[in-house]
Amino acid sequence: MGLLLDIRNLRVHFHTRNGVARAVEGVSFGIATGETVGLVGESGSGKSVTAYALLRLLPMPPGRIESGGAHFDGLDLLRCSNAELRRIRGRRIAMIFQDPMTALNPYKTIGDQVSEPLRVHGRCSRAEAWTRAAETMESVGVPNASERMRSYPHEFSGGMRQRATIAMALMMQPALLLADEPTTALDTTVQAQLLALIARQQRARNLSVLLITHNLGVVAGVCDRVLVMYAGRLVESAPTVVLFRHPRHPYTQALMSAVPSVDAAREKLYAIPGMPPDPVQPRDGCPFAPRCAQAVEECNRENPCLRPVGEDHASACLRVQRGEL
Amino acid sequence: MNLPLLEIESVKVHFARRSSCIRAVDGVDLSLAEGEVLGLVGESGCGKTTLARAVMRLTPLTAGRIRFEGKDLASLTRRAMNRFRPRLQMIFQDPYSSLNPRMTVYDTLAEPLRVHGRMVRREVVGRVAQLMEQVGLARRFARKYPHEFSGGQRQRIAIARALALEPRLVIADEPVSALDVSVQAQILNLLTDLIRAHGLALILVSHDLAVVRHLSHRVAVMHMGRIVEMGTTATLFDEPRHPYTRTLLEATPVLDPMRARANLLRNT
Repeated sequence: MGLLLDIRNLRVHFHTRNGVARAVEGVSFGIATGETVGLVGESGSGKSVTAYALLRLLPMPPGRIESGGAHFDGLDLLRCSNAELRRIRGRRIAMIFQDPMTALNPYKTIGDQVSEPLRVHGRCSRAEAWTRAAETMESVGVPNASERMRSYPHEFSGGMRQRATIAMALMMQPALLLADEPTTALDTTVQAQLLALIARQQRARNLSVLLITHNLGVVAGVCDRVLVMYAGRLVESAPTVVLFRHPRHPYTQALMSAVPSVDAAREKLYAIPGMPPDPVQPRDGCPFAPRCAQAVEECNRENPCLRPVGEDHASACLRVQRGEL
Repeated sequence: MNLPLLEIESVKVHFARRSSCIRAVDGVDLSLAEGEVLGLVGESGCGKTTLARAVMRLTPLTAGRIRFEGKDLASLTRRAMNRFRPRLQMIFQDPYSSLNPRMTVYDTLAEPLRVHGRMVRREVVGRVAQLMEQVGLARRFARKYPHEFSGGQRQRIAIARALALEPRLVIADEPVSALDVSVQAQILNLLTDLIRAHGLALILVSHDLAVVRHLSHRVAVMHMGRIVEMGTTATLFDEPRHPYTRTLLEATPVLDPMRARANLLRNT
């Protein structure tokens, strides 16, 4: 499997009045064809900024891509011309967002919006675009799709709206789907249906998917591999099963013991003390060190990169890398 | 057997719309003992928040009766209800909108003490300090405004305010769903400690079954305005009877990739 997308040392900063916020500080990873990768982190960890930077959807200024490359289809997405990027964005790489109500235009019918990518990129007739949009809507599980094409977004439930944005994203047969918290605003049962839908479409189309979420439980079922992000950096990367069985970074371990479980009541949850660091005032050493129960003196001085600690498993913990944990 | 603290009998809350009527709560019976934690779960639109608001008398009942400490709340005059208010408190989901942005932490916590507590200034100062300590807020934060705090800290302020008048019953409507995972654990642990320390009764309204399992003694599952299943936490989670409860349980994300995958397949 060759890499479809290869991100190297991506750094994104926001130059604000209060200083420079280092949102993404040297992130490198790849996504293979047909692979589903989960990018997990809490709010402010830089996971969404990473995805937005790829399609250059960040407001610039204040945002600025300080360094790095993102190779896709033989093109560096961060450096190619706008015209080149337009041929990729929406066509080869599509994106879906957390809130399907704001992602859809309330003044246009669902059908207009779902068929739009084909009209813009596809050079086909209006009627043909409409028919193909209805088929795609059908395939993502919108009942009576051809009738409901004439509805407006407010006439759809949250889950149906998100199905419509997924249909819109799939219209151009993209190779890569960026999904930014696609199920966070939805009910649990609807979330489960949509995750199943994404997994089904992924298999049927051999899509690559980058699933961005704060919810470890969401990645457990659908992702082949999981990346954990903290304070603008990747702290752990592993195949899903390995990550959940043997997390090798204290932050990942802490996150897992902080989540209550439906299986058995735990006496006490592990609460990670303190708060994530201020992105405007980065500290020396490992960003997680002040909250880490395993931290030693050196953790406050050295900030290790992600390094292999096992087969296909990488961790950015100094002590794990030295074999102490 | 003690008298229940709260009794909800055949409660209905309907909202009239131009041409139709929304039966948000459609015949609910519940009771809650002193010091008991009841989880009220269901998906958006099932009526769980409306029921919670009805208990607080923030929404009028269409039918039925709610008795708190044996008194029918709906029959009370405004003034008589005001005497009950300190004993019934609520914590809301969004700590960004539930706190007054123009009041400092001190003012926010002192207000209920001044209104209901009939305390002199010195006592108010002491009680505010005590409350801040109970919820884990440093005393130097007293003069700060809500916007200077993170979501988790704001929720601590909201909890302190709910506890200010030593209520018997607290209703928490999705108290942690707006918070990040690591902060969520801090707040859940805080709630656990406070319930134990004060012998509080709590109605925990949530869509998150894992959170409910963690905190509750008993769980009621709501669907379309009715309670479809109710039982002790262990029974309901380990031997769910109602198909809707099972659907909810299977849809809840788990940290086990194998089971998560099996659940996913069930949805395909």
